Amino acid sequence: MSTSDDESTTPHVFYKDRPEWQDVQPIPSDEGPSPVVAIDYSEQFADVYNYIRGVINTGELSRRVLSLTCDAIGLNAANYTVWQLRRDVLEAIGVPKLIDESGLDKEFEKEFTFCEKMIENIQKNYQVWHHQKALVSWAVGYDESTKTMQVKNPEALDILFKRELQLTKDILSYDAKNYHAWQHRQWILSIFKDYSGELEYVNQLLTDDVRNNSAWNQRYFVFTSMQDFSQESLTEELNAVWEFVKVALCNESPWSYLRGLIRLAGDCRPTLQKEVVARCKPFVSKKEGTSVPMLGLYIEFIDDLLRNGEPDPEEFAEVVCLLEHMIKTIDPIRAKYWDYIMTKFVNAHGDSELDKFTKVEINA
Amino acid sequence: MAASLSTDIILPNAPPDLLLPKHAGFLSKYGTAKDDYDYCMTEFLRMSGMYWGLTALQLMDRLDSVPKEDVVAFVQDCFHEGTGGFSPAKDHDPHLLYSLSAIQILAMYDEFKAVDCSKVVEFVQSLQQPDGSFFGDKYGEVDIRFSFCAVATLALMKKLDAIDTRKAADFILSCQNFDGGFGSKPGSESHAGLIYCAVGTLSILKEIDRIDGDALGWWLCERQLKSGGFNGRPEKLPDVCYSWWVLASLTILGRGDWIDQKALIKFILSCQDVSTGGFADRPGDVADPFHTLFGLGALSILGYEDETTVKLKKINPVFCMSQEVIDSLGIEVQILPGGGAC
Repeated sequence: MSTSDDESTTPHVFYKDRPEWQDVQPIPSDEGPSPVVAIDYSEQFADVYNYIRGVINTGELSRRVLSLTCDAIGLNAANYTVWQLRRDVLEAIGVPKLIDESGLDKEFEKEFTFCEKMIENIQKNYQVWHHQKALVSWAVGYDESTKTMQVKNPEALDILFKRELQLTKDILSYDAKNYHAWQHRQWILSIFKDYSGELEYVNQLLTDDVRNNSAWNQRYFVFTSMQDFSQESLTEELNAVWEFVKVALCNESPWSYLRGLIRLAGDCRPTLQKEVVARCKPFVSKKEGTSVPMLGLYIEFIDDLLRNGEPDPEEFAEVVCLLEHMIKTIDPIRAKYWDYIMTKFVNAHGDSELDKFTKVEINA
Repeated sequence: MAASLSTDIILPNAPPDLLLPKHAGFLSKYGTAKDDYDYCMTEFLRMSGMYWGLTALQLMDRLDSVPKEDVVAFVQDCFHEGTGGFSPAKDHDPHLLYSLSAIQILAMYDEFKAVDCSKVVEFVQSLQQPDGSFFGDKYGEVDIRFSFCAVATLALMKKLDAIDTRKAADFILSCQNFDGGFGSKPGSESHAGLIYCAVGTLSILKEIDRIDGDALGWWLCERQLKSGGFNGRPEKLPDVCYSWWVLASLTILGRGDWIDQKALIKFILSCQDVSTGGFADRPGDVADPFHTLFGLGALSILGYEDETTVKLKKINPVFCMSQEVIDSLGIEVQILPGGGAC
């Protein structure tokens, strides 16, 4: 069960049988009087955790405790008290050191390797990622309250920046939607304030799987970090996204993305909405466009445009007809939602003149 | 066993009826005749495990099948006088996650007097950050889940004035994404479980009207798949726990009828383990108390009843506790005016 740098013990010797641990009083788990919570531990688990409780009780922070936490983490990596004990030990014995251009300090490097291995083994565990974040913070002297780093040397920073991007990339290559990995990656990008290569990575992920919603989320994260919401920049992004839209019309992610993207636009919003409506029209009219998320956005944009522009009886009638189809045939499981949209739409745009027109159209 | 598709499943033919006696037996046994390994491995969340099991039993009106004194003694054992927080089990560190579970359990039993609640208030208060967010414990991880835990814990004890509620709501809103949903931190991907935390927090703080119910309601509706079940993010498999998180969120938004309720009921019933009792994430998987509570909770919101007149108690969509308890504490949550009633 021991891993990495700490002394490996195979075959396993119980701590209670190790002479070098005789000075520590093991503390068995005291679960109180309650039978609803009685625990029957496995022997090794009990042994290791008895000694964990023992050293927590004495407050010992030493190398042998570091090794003990290694075993305890191996038995149950979700125990956050043990991880914290490990960090307390690391600090107490002076392992964390600031990175320089030659890289991490040798012993600190081992701790990074240990944590990275743990991350690879248990990729969806909060504690491992939290530990990795603590290690990075130590290595660059990151202060969360001021959002600044003590290390300023670009070469030194680049070593760690690349290492963390590679770590998250590796984990995302197993599961491209791993929430922890994405969170760590966003944190790294934001503390190192370098987003320059990220769009390329997102494009690669979307080329691999255009339905990867996490990658779409990351795309928005990167796009907004650039802070350029001009019509030119938004149109360029619309063009880029449209290539992915065409691949899978029913994929809800890019439609959500477009909705969000166009919300960033100021005065040019109607222009962009018109552009999207125009691009959707061929799909809608060819009846190949039974993509629910596309039609949802299409209807929403026309609704917006009608609210802010001139009444357009033809457009109005088309949407009402489309909504009828949504309710009855295209998306009946969400019929109540489309009912609601229909009522909202008709209340906003349907004066009596238009109503007559609509009835004729629907009946036709 | 249900057939697997890439992002949805095909349900077995006819779902079983709701097997309440089996579920009650499953839950009350879970605490005593448990598998050693599993029990060891879940020690770090024991307090929440008890809350899931006990709440589910209460919904079935079977809370009396567990000795109250033992439960209260366990909760007291996990209380840390020094910090005012609760740990998941003895010898673990206190954390907001387990503090909410502990307070929920004490609320169910009307036993706030079992611990020094003023300390609990101080614990929660001490974890709020200048931006309104909350650390989960002294080690500094921030997550929207902890905001929910903090706010719900204080609300149950009627001590919301101990924190800056406006800032707490501001932080929640800073986690809202372009698609209308919420992630665990600003910039993180929308996820139905985290949306529940966001919407629940805003509901308790009476600030739910600060979000656009139509946009978020639509994203939540899109979580329903052909099988009738909900996923938590696009292109993921359906799971019973999302039945709760999505439906409870829609209910708080006043839009619970925007989805196909009959199809959802069928999905949830199919996730019951007819031999052991309990609900699993998906049909054919192993049952556990977590999915059992969320399956029953969703059925309660849906007002499920069958010909055997099996009826669940009404659940509160924000606190995920029996409505009776919330009423007895005199707590009101904010529900957005309906979007579906037209």
